[in-house]
Amino acid sequence: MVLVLVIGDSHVPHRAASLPAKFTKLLVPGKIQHILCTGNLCSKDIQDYLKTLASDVHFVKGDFDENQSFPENKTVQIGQFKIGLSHGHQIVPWGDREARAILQRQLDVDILITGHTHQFEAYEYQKKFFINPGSATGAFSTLAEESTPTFVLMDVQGTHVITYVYLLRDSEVKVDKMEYIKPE
Amino acid sequence: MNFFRSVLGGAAKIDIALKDAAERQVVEIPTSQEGKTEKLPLYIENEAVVGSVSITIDNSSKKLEHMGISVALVGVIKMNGNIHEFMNIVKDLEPAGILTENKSYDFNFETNDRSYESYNGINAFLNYYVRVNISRSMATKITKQIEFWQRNYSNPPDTNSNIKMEVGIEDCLHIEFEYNKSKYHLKDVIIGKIYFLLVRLKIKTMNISLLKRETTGSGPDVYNENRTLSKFEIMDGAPVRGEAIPVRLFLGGFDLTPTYKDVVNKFSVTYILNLVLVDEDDRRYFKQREIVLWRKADRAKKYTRIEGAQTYEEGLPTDGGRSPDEE
Amino acid sequence: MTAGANGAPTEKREFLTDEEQNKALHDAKIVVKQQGLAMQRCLDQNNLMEALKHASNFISELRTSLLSPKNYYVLYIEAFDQLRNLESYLLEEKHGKKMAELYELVQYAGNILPRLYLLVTVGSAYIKLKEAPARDVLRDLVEMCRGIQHPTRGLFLRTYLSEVTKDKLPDIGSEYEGRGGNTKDSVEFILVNFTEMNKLWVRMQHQGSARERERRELERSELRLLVGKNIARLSQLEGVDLATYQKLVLPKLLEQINSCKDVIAQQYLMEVIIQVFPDDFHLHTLDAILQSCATLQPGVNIKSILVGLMDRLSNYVARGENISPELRVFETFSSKIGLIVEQQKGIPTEDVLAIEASLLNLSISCYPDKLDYVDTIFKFASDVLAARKEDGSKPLVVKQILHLLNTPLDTFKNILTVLRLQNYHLVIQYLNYDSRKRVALNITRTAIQHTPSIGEAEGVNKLLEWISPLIQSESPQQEIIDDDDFAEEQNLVASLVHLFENKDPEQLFAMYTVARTHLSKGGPKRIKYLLVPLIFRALRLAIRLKRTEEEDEGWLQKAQKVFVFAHEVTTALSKTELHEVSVRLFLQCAQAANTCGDSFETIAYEFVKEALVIYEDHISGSAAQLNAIVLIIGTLQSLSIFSEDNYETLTTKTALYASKLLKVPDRCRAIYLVTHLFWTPNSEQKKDDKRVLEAIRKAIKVADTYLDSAVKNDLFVEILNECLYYFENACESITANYVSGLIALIDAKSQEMDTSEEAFRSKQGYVNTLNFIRSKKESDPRYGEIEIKSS
Repeated sequence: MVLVLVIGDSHVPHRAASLPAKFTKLLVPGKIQHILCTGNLCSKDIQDYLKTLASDVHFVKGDFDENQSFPENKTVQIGQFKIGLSHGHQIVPWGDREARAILQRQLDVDILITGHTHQFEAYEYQKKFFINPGSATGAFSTLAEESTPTFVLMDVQGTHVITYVYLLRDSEVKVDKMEYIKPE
Repeated sequence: MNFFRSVLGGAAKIDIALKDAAERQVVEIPTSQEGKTEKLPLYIENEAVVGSVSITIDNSSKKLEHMGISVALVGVIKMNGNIHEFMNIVKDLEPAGILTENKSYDFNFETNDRSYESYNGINAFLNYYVRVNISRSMATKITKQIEFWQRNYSNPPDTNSNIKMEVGIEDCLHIEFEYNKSKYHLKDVIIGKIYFLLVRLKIKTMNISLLKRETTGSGPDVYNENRTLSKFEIMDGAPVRGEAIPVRLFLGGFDLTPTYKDVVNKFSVTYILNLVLVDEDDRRYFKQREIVLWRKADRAKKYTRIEGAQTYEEGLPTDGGRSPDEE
Repeated sequence: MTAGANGAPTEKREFLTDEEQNKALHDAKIVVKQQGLAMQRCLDQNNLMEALKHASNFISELRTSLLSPKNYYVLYIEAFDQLRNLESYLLEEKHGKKMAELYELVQYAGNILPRLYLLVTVGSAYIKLKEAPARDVLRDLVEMCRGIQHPTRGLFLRTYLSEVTKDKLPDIGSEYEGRGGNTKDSVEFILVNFTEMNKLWVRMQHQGSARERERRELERSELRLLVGKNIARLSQLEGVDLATYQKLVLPKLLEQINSCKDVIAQQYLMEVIIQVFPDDFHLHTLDAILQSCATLQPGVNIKSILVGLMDRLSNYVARGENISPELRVFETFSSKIGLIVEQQKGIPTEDVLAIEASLLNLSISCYPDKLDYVDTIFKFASDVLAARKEDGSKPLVVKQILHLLNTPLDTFKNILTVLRLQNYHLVIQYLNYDSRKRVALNITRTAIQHTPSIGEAEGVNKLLEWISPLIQSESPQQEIIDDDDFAEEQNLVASLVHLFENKDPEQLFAMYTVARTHLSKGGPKRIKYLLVPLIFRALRLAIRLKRTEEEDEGWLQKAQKVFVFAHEVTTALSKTELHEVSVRLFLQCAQAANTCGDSFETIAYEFVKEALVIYEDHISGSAAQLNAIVLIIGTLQSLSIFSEDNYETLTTKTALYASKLLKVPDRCRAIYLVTHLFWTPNSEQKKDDKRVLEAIRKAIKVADTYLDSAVKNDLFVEILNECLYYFENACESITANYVSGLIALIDAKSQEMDTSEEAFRSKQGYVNTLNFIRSKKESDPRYGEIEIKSS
């Protein structure tokens, strides 16, 4: 069992003061093997924080990230899955499924993870899997006053990925789950 | 001697027996021989001295020619080799004549005034005897005496105020001492307190010694003999202003006599408390004060001293011999 | 009084060397052991008189003046053990003597020290056998011990007295109570013994030469426990209730402490009192204790005494005990501390502050609701700092000020509570800039961690004033190093903005206005961090106002004001070389305006225009340009608010900038992305499929000029994918035929490709694309028309 934390768009301190305490309580060091971060963490604090949770942490650059060393896109091999990572503001139109599929094909990945919209999504398209972990702080986006704080935990087992989404709704953490099986 | 006795009218032996000798309390008195003591019957106050005299005629002579037989109660003071009889009460037992057989006589000194106590001092001694004399015309008299020990009780003193004195050396040491009485009976306890009002000396220790002073002679020939009976440490270390040091001295353990004043105008025995302070440089400061001792009529109670305490004391110089001087 | 002749001068005693000490101790111990054994033999033979003699002999070893207190103690313990044997013999009553007799008997000893040790031993048995009332024996013993005025010897003798009588004190529940006396007798006994011991102990300092004073004081300190034990013993008496403590015990103790005028003793004894007696007693005697603190000698560490006391009481409350308000604990401390500080001029400032910190703790634990108490403390502290002209240059003082300032933060957590303090910030001003900054950081951290929200402009104002060292440099000349630490600190302050919250948009806006005034003060390096959150919050507020349009007619004006605010703040940022950020922020503003509806078209237009102007004037460097263009395209694509004319102006400009990018791949990509501005699914406005085709063609042309065949192939595949996007969405000008042509073109070009690894990877993207088309062919007949030559 390999646990992969997918998280991003916290926008601290631009749009939120800090990660929700209810989330940081759940995120304890030693459980998670990989972290895939969709960017727009904005502050180095949270980058450092994520590095305390797991040794293998991958970042890509969001539109509000100042760190020039972050790549625009990245692919990571975890078990039998090749996973692509991109913030998503470069994918026009933003949040468009077809447009995201283009990137998936380009990166040649089984799973494509993008952020930017602050809306959690996980779906299968053309037998590939697409995840948007949403915003870990429920950061404000210009589309809506509030969004729900979310992050995703992927449990990678062989050709299976179980995706848990953690939502903070009415001060309660809720978990939803969906499964993706890599086609032969 | 025997020859003369036999030739000159015979010889005889005198025995004096005191009544109740077996029951009577005895007093152990040191003798002139060092380390030896003798036990003497004790007579209290004006107790009658009762007994008997036995005359045993010497077997060889069969008879005793005499000028009279008498028994006497004698009180003597011995001082510097002189003997002074201050009392001699004679009772005749037999008028002059010839004794042809052994004979006993009872005697009873019922009324007499033994107001002086027996005393064995340093230079002065006061002793009582029962003495039997057989007077003879041609030969020396035959005599025999036995000693007994006399003690007199006193009534508690009418007045017995405490002793309180403030003494000191200007700007250096001021103390006030207080003894609870001025007159103590022989088994009494001296209780007192020494208050330090000003202390600029570094005092090391404070002692109280009990001095006995025996005064003999009179006028220009007066002679004092002082003995330290006890040296008693009452304080160890340097007190500061305001300290009050307790004094508690049990007299019962010491060999004491009452205070004697001008006994037959011959001698006196007085007791003095000497308070001595010693400073760090071994300078000594002392203050003497006479106390009166008296004998109280009560059960005798005798304690042994803890001898261990003496070992240290012997190593220290005494301050006896220094002349008393009151401020 | 008569002075005798001078005796032989004795040498002044000095302490021996360690070696000599050890020898003296060793020899003395041997004597004690031998004599102890001899005593025991005599006791076994029931020869008490001889036994006492041996006892006296070994006690005499304690008469020495040669040993240091520490070594003397060792010897004392040795003798003590032997004396306990004697006592047990006495208790067995084999000697057949009345205790009264023995009590007198031992008093004939000529030397006082052996005499008193024996007297205490016999006296102890006397009490135990109940042949005399304990009270009488105790009184007598404690009185007789006055004979030892030598400090060390006296202290140990009295320690012996205290030790052997400790289980024989008449007290409630003790077997010696009643005929033997009562608690009061025990109290008096202990008090006398304590007083005398303390006097002796204090006197120790005057022994010996001045040159050894330091060492002597150290040794003296080691003996303090002997004195303190008496106080502990008092506290252990069952019968010492509050009334006894208040009326008898404490006054006597304080009287002695006060009159001994000794620093070490006063310090220690006060601490012992505080330590050993129950909290409840202290609470009822605060006046007396504190009053006597005011009269302690200069040099006594009053701080540690008061802190000890207050910390005890704080813990008492922490254990759940209540303190009756009638006791007026805070008022008492507060006023007495004032008095103490006034009278004890020598107390260092740091100590005064430490005392106040303890009072603060106490106040918070006892009276969590009494904020005015806390305020009183800060007032007092600031008065002291002012009176003593503190300037933050003494590290110890600074440490205490920081502690004092941190305490309300650590306890109240919620910054709103702390903000209610009137005098808190008065204390801050006695710190230097760096320390003020530390306080500010702590305030900020506390606010972020523990404060749900701040709801009033006044609170915002106060908070930002308090943390101004983080917002503004000490002087304008000060150079700021923008490193990780600085970023962390600034991010922290920036986070504060998110705490400002009020349901009423106008009040919220007022708070932002206040915040802006403060946060704008720090120059380019700071506003880069501090103003950004304010812009986002303003945009959020605008969107919130939009949601109130149904119920609030004035929402429009309000929202406009907010946009003006956002514009001003963003403009302020853009004027400080922060061009890239400004572009992004203006685009964000435009999106927000878009969300707020048609009324904000002009404003949205203005925002995008600002972004374009900054791009044109200031964005240089191909990466930055590409990033900006991609973002501008993404943003414009997402906006739906513009009139045809305005939109045309903006897209034309954007397309122009795209076509001017210097690097071929950048230019190519920007150009094919611009197509999304012309044609968007589900949009009525963006339906210019001709311009899509035109742009695609242009992109192909640009790509074709590139020399690196692998990248060129990538670009072609990307363009193919763009076309597939339009094909999928049924953009008319991108036909199956056109797509087939493009595939054919790529196939042709790929012949020229090398076989490097990069090329292979790029090829994989192409393979994926073709597979995508193939799979589409199965479900969508439109795809059937696309021709793929098998490869």
